[in-house]
Amino acid sequence: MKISNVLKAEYEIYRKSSLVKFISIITFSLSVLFGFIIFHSSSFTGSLSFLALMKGYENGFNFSISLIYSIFNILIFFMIVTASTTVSDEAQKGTLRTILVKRLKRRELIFGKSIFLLICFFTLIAIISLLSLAVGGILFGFSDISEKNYIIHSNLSLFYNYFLSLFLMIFPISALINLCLFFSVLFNNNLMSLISCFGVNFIFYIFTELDFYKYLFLTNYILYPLKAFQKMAQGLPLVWSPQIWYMIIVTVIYLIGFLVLAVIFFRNKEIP
Amino acid sequence: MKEDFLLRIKNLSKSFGGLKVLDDISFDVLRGKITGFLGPNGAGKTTTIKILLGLINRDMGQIELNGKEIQDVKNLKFKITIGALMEFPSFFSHLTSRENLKILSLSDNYQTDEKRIDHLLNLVELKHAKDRKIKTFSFGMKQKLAIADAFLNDPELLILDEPFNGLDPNSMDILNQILKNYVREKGTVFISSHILSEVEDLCDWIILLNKRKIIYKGVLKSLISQKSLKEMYLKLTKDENI
Repeated sequence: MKISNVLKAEYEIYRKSSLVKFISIITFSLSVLFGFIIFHSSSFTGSLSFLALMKGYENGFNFSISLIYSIFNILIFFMIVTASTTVSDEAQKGTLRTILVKRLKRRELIFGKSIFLLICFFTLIAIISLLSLAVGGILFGFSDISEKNYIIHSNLSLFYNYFLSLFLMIFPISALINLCLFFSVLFNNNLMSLISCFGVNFIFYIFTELDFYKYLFLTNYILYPLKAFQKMAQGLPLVWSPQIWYMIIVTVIYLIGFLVLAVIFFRNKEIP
Repeated sequence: MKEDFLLRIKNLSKSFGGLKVLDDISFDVLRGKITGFLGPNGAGKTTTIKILLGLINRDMGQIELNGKEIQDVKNLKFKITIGALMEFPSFFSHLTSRENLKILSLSDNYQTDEKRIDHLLNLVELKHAKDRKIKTFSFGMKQKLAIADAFLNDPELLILDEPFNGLDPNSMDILNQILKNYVREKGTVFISSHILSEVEDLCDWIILLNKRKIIYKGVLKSLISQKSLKEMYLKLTKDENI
């Protein structure tokens, strides 16, 4: 019951935050703008070059897929910043002390914040997804593009894999939220928390470049569901298993591990 | 007559990085009374209060509630309803005073309706500012809101750290009356303050802390039978400094 109270309180705090409104508007405007640029550009370079393959295959799903793929890194960046400062910011401002003298168990606060951030992230993804589907549908329609030579996915297949990819994001994103939350608990200073969190993610990223070790590091799996989006856009076949189960197991270990660590450190933390 | 205590603190010690800030202090908080916790800056008053509220850990010592030892001090607030006010209170600056109290009652898992929130804001004379954002508040107004917050859960015990800080004389008088009425209705107050004139008028029982140790504890009247509290305070803390 207490966790639901934390969720309600977090909702009230974030709902009235002008920064959150600003980030939401900017994220959405950028995403729509980015999506249109991609669809109306004739040349793509670097990691976006695969999008050039979609030229001539405009469809509501493809529009949404390319848009989410394009803005995913921006969303992850905002999510890391928010999650890695969620406790440290309250410690810095003193509101953590105001809350913790209340009848609230520290673990409930951590669980509540973790669940709230996850809900926030997926609400944002869901809103962007639905709006982009609506915009894409209005502009390009949902005509079946499977008959065209390159794109092998039918609308049904796109529909299924699109939502499966979104669902599978829950695991790596939850793990990433809990990793950030752990660093947020460690420090009473936002800057320290942010530097540590980005630093660890960067180290993880370096390890993902190594062939064997990459399977052990969370960073390897954060973009895993996104790769499905890339394949869908390219018209390549999708093979989910058995890698899908390996991804779920590894990310759940991270998810639980960092949540437990955050709770243990927070339980013994001295509040200034 | 034997005093009835609600809280008994025994041999409490605390260090920060090798620096001792509380050295084996023992005292009682009396049921249905106002216990004053006095001492100069840095004496260890806030540290003691933070330990009682579970914000920091003790190094040594026991805390008893109604004669029963509390093993984990962080659980004290779950055994008895506590209303707390910390020195330099902080609130969510982008929210109004009503919204802050609503969120804090949620954190306390206490059902507080709008009427009670409005009543408490009236009580501390913040009725006019109930829909104003905290970022526009003065320090004194935040202090008043913290007083309202302390009463939010209808507490059995009030723990107040420097509640008179930043209050104008009228507001001090109002808080004085609120606390007296609260105690009359069987509430218990543990209050730290350096505003001796207020304490003198308010407290039944005094604990005087200086340089990490308790140098006096007892009935206020017997301490100030011949001299004012200020004179006795200066004498006791000065003697300790020699």
